[in-house]
Amino acid sequence: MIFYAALHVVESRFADDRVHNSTHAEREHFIKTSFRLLWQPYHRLQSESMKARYLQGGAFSMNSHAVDAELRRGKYNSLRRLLRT
Amino acid sequence: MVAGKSKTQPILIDGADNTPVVFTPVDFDRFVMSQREVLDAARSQEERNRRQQEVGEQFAALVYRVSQWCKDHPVLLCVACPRIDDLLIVVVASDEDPGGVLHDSLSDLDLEMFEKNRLRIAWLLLRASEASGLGAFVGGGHARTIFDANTKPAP
Repeated sequence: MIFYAALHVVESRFADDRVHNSTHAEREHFIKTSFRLLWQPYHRLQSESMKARYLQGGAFSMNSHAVDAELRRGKYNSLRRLLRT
Repeated sequence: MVAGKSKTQPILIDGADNTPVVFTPVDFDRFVMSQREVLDAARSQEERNRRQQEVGEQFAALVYRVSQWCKDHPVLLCVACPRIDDLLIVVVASDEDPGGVLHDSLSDLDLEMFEKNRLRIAWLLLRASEASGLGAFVGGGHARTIFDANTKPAP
């Protein structure tokens, strides 16, 4: 959920430049070439999202407290701050 | 005109020459091409060979850099697996990563590799306690180990 919220936040910012990425590949390429500072928080959110959805057998290691502290208050807010600057 | 076929004489192909070239493969029907077509085919093959070599060199450099990065960080295992439209690199690292510093470093490595080769690579960092789920991302017998902390270097 946090990753997809972040995805829409960055796309909203890109729309100001009349850029719309329709695939993850396009978006990743655009961030890496035009908004490099976003990559750390965006990539972290993307990775944890992938693991939360696809790791089998309950192997995902982050608990709800860590998700809130590291991902929502940490990476997601960091990404929003970077987009405001 | 196509010159002589002796073992010591090269076969000369001239793009301005209209004489057709007859190919006689050992186990295939013979076929005919113009000398211009032969030259175009040769150029295409040269370009393919060059690109193949370039990608091979980029991949070798990538593997070397990633394995060095793994040595410098608390990484247990790193595997690469080709997918339909990209290459997935999965790093299994220690559970301890205060503030997500290790993941940030992996993201920086991703950016560094992207700037060098523009290859589309997906990177995923698993914690040691998540390693049992590795098979959810890497499978099918196509994965290659780039780094394994349990493998001792040769003396």
